[in-house]
Amino acid sequence: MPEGALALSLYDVAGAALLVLVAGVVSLRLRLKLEASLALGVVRASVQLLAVGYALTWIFDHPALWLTALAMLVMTLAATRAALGRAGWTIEGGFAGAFLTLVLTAGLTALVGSAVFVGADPWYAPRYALPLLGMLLGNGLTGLSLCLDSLLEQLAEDAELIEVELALGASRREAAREPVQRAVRRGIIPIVNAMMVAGIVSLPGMMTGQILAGAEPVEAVKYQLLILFLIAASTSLACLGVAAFAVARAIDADACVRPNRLRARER
Amino acid sequence: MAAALSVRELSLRAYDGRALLEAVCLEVPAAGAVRLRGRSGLGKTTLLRALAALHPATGQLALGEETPDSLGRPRWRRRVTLVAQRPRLFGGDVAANLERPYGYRSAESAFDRERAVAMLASLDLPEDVMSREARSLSVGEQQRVCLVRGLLHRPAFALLDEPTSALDDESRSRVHALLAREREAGVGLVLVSHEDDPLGAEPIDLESFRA
Repeated sequence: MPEGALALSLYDVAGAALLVLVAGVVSLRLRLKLEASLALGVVRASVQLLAVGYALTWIFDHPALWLTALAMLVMTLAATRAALGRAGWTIEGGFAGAFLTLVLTAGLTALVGSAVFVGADPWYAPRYALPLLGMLLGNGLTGLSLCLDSLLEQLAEDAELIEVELALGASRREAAREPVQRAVRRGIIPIVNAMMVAGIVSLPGMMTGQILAGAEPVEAVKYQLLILFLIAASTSLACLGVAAFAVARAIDADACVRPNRLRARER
Repeated sequence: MAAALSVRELSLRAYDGRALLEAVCLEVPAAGAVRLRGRSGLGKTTLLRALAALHPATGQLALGEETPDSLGRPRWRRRVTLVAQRPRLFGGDVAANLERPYGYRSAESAFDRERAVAMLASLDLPEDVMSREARSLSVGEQQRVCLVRGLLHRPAFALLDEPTSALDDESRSRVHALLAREREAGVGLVLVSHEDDPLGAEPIDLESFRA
């Protein structure tokens, strides 16, 4: 614990949870029927985060490459599931494509970020790699899912128009250019907005946490900037990667549209 | 570039795996015209798409010495150009729609605005249609714009799927006149059409190739 940090007791945390009761009362009074979800949210967040806290403590105490790699894979799998879970469209092989994309973007960015920029020792030190990966995945999955959802919707609904482009002599890259531009834009906008308003509208969560835990604001800012830049890089690359993958599936190597590889998910 | 379109042992399946046509063989001489016949659901549209290398098929497809593989799909499709039955236009005005294919890497000539205007006029679409929003046109107008878009670069063969389905008699005869002129200029035609055919296209019955 750094100097100046005020340790929280579990009672303090429980007190904050009690405040959620206020929201519960509002829900009851207005018949929003959210009180059960709120309660479940409180319980789930507590159990999940405490479990992670203990798991992280154990992993940090036993820094091994294979253990770090395993934890990173499990985190990435969970992020892939979350990214695809709410999508309105699915594409054959989509899970593998999205997973591989996140491994190559968020995973590599986290390792490079902690090894090169943070200077972790050993280079794979889980204390740096895992939280960094978590930040990158959390943002990357949002971007990836926005991008993929927009792209698949366009590829499915404009399949005839894309075929017209191909019929007139477009390569598959030319035929997919506009849908890809729109989709990647949509995936990247949240992180661009986050950079635009950082420090003006809100203090980013990680920085807030560090300051509360006793860090000097300027030190916290440096870390936050590093994280923001890594997030922007890995989210952009994840959007591009998943877009390239989806286009390659929806328009095959012979530049034929394959609408049967896309499916609308029933809601 | 007067080459025949030859199709050898071409077999096709629908995307759901259903076999449609088997071992289709046909040969269309340069500037020739054929009309594909057969009951609906037989695979006429899919065959047209396969000729444009837009639908997977087994067998051989050639334009003289060239094949889709030797030319690459985009250049093949500029020589063997499909005009689909349902008109589909890009956002933007009619001029942008007609010019768009000239922005592709496979383009082999520059956009000829005069020719485009003349072709539109021959189909009873006055010059001011060039600056109109393409998607605001009527279906019949859109169908004619799509036809012009597919013929403008003068492909070796135009694959026309019911090119006059949304047109009245007057427009229909104008389309036929345009097609006859393009044919004289060397464009071969492969038609799917239910109407009696004034173009003198040789009928080809696909029933015998049914899978």
